[in-house]
Formats: sequence, structure tokens, C-alpha cells
Amino acid sequence: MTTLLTWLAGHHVGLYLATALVAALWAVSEIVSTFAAQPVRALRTSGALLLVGLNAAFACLVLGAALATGLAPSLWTAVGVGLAWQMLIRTRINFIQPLPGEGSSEAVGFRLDEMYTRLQAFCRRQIDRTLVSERVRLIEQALTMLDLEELARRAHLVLAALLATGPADPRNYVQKILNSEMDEESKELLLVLTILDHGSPALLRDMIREAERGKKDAKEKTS
Amino acid sequence: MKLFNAQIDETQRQLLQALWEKGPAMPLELAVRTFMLPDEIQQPLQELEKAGLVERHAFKGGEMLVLTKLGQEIVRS
Repeated sequence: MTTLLTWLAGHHVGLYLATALVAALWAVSEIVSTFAAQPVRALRTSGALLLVGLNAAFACLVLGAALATGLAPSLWTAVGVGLAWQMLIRTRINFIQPLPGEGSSEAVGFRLDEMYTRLQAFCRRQIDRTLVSERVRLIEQALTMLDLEELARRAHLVLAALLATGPADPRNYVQKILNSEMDEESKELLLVLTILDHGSPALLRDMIREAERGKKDAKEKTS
Repeated sequence: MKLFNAQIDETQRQLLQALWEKGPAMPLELAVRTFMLPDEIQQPLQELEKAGLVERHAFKGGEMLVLTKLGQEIVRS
């Protein structure tokens, strides 16, 4: 136990943990602000988990490089690196030490920056895809469970409070859909999307649950 | 950039703004976000894609419209 503690202290494990924690929190805040419409759902995706992990790992890498250059191993250094590591790998200052046998420190810093940017874009695409796939499943469920009349009524309520910000008036939108020459299924789909986008996924889920309960009750009464 | 802005009409601006504010969307979702019918956004969307401001990403359940970097710059300007 003592040996383990000595080893941990010798390798500044606490500092790496602090850096990882700060970087992870930073990543969480980025995800929440990027996916402001569905922050909790976005955070639950595997892409989000990967992005948080990547942030922590890259920050630890930068801390390792910083300590190797002789920077004092203090909590402030760890927190500072956790907050500013992205900026540090983007600057061309002689901060990141070249790998043995490799080119200049600038090249290493730049490659790290490029690699992180690509991985970050990949994670964001993964989050986008997961969220869209979830929406598609919810839409399919709504289309099976809800009829045109109910969808129109709810969509109208959702849009009633919205103010026109462009040439199209939101309050006339439901009527516009109903009067269009589209088939019934397409009208239902647009109404579901209206509730989902201008209302919320939670509202649509509630409507599906109500419809399921209604069907169940009706079944019990007949049996 | 100003040249691009001058060439974008009101409908296209609304489409770009909707993608910027609420993120990537399926074509039908984008129609709903801007209170238009799918037919109404088809042409302006094609022009935005041709101008390199919007691109389509395929995914399991269909395709998603995403603002390109240039599209993001136009919305911000």
C-alpha cells in the first residue's frame, strides 16, 4: 500500500486526475452548449462519452509534456493545463517537446492539434447521428399511435404562442399543412415534426403514452 | 462574403439560420422549422448546396442537412 502511494505521488497521479477532471468538465460544457436543445440526451450518447474521454486524455498528454519541460508540478499547473490545453497545442510556442527522432516541437504540437480536431469532429458527428436516429424512432412510434386530428390539435396549440420571425406565420402553419395536396401520411409526418421541433420530444412522448393508455383502457373495457 | 450575402434570398437565409440555431436536420425537419412545406424549400436548398453552404450527410435512417464552414460564416456575418 505504501509502495503504491509512493509510486502514485512520484508520478503526480493526483495532478493528472485533476487535469483530466477539469478537461472532462470543459468537454461536458461544450457538449451542453452545442446541443442546447437536448443536452441530457446528447451527453448520454457514446460520441459524448468518447469526446469527454478524449479531452481528458489529450489534456493529460499536454500535462505530461508540460511537466517534462520542467514546469512546477502544482495543482494550479494541473488545473491550468486542464482549462487551456487546447490553446496550448494550438500555439506554436516551444511547449510540446519533440518526440525522440522526430521533427520540431511545432510539428508535434500541430499534429496533436490536427488529430484532436478530427477526432472532435468525428465525436460530434456520432452525437448528431445518435440524436437523429432517436428522433426517427420517436417519429415512427408517433405515426403508428396518433391520428391526424389529434396531431393537428396539439401542433396548433404548440404554435399558438410562437411569434412570426420570417415571412411565414407559425399560427397558420397547421392549416397550411392540412390544406396542402399532400397525402394523409405526409401531413401526419409534418405535424409530428412540428410538435417535436417547436414543442419538445417529451411532449410527443407524453402524447404517445396517453394514446397507449387509451388503447389499453379501451381493450380492457371490451374484454 | 458580402457578395454571398447579397445573393441569398429571404427563404435561404431562414434555412441557414434554422440550421445554425437548432443544428443539423432532416429535410422535412428543416421545412417544419421554417414553417414551410417540403416543396417550398426544395429549390432554395438545392441552391444552397450548390453554393457550398449546406451539405447532406447520409445516416442510417435517411440524410441530414448540415451547415458547411462557409455556411456558418455566412450566418454569423
